[in-house]
Amino acid sequence: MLLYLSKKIKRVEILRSYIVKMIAAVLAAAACILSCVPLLPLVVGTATGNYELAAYLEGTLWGEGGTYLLLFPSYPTLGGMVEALFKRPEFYVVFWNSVKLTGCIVLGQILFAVPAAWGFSRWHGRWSSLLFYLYTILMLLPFQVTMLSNYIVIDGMGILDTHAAVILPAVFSTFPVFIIYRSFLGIPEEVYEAFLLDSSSHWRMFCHVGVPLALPGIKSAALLGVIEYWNMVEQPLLFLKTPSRWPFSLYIPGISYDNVQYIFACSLIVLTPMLLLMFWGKDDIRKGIGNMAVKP
Amino acid sequence: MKKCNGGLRYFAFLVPSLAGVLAFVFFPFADVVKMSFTSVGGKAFIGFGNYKTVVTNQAFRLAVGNTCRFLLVCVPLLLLFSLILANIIYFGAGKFYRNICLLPMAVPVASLVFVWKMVFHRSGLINTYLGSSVDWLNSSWSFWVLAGTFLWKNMGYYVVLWLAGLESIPGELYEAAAVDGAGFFSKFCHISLPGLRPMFSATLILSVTAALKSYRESYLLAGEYPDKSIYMVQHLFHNWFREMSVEKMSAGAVILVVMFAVMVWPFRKKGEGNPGLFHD
Repeated sequence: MLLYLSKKIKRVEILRSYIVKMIAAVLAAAACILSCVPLLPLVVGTATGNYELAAYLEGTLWGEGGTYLLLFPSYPTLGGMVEALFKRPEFYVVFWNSVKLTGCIVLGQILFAVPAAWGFSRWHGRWSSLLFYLYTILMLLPFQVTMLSNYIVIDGMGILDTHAAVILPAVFSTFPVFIIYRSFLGIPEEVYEAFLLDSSSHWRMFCHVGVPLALPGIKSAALLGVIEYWNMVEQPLLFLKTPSRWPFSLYIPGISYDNVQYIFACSLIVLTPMLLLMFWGKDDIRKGIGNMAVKP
Repeated sequence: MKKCNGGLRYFAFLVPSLAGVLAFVFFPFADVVKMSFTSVGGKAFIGFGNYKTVVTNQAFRLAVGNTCRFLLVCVPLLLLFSLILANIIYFGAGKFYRNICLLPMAVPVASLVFVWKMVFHRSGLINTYLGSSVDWLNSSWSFWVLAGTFLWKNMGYYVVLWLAGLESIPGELYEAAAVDGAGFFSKFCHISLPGLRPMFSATLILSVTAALKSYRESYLLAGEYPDKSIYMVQHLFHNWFREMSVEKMSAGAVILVVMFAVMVWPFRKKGEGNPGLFHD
């Protein structure tokens, strides 16, 4: 009798854990699908001609009728891709503007932020805490709050409407300092003590101990920076007047609705470098974030 | 206790970054503070006149209220959902999610603007398939649309953060708890949550930063004067900048900096001896 009851309880428990596992699996699958779904129209739309898109997206484009989900174009055409890649000098210019801006900003950020983060992680004291507090406030402030200060300096330097106006303030952003600081905190004190036995040069300690050990964190901060500035909208909007200096994030939303396939094609093209970076940098990001989780 | 020798030498590493920050932010901000106490054109000293104008300004109150509301809704939702999803992934199903979870964050905003418009337009996908005619982007629903796109975009990164935190908790603790008969919920409360505390302050700060960046989506989707429910401080300052209302901008900037300073105070890194919230 007891054996029968215990078997029944076990069966109920197994059933319950099975149900929980099913729910968990469904939720995880839903999360996976939801993450990818918005990209589907991009891919499909790039291969669909303008006539078909105009029919399917009538509601969105001209406000009347409806919008329907197109899963596979009846008349696939790569006209939009060809136009974006070969026939439109504007897209070429804005794309490479973005590349230039993002590259310069991230390089500059790493150059200035890594030593600063190391300095913060090793320097303890009231002044260090005060400075770090100010850096944290700066990191949280939305761009718009310090916009006026930036504008004053940029106007004073006379570099308004040049790429330097966007690059310079962004290079000194305090966000990467925060992330890389957390990585440096994870380095145990013993490693530094061991190094100090052999040499007392702090610069050497930084180069040969600090940077190599925090490299995943630095790489992940760089990747995050690339994603952030590839997307940049507010700074170029305010500081770059000439359209030929714009990054693509200002150009694409302004493309007229006559040429929807071109919009999709451009969107897909600017997405691709990010996808590649994500694919290559996946492990680095995970390791870098893992460094952040270490108790300091 | 960490050693404190060579403090000044470490300061040397800070100098390049600090120089830039001083030049591009602090010194001009001092100028802004000065401007906040003078009238338009910078001639007369009018004390707190600008501050009074700003604080009694309807738009300012609306913007600050909306920003607070957005932060208080989105940040806990993001942290909670990503924590739940991280637990699901860590303890069983869905390891595949790790491969694609960072995808939404990588997609450029400009790429997706048209897709979001397609979905949420008055005659867009949702309204067509559900037969409704709610103007998702231009009514008070736009708050939830913005929150939804924010959650979609950032969920993956915070799942990775929580997973990293969960992985740093030794597995033996869970096994020991299971031997003592702990169910999933008590394991969560007594092992996972305390183990995740070191991550918590950094994750909170990162998520607030991310929430404030959602202005980009809102600007590209709804323009400079969106619906009242999502008119945030970023919109307000942007519009003041366009009108060149320098006196309002300067007073507003000082007020906001003070507000953020107060908000960040509990998270500062403390000096030697006492651990701050960063150093749990």
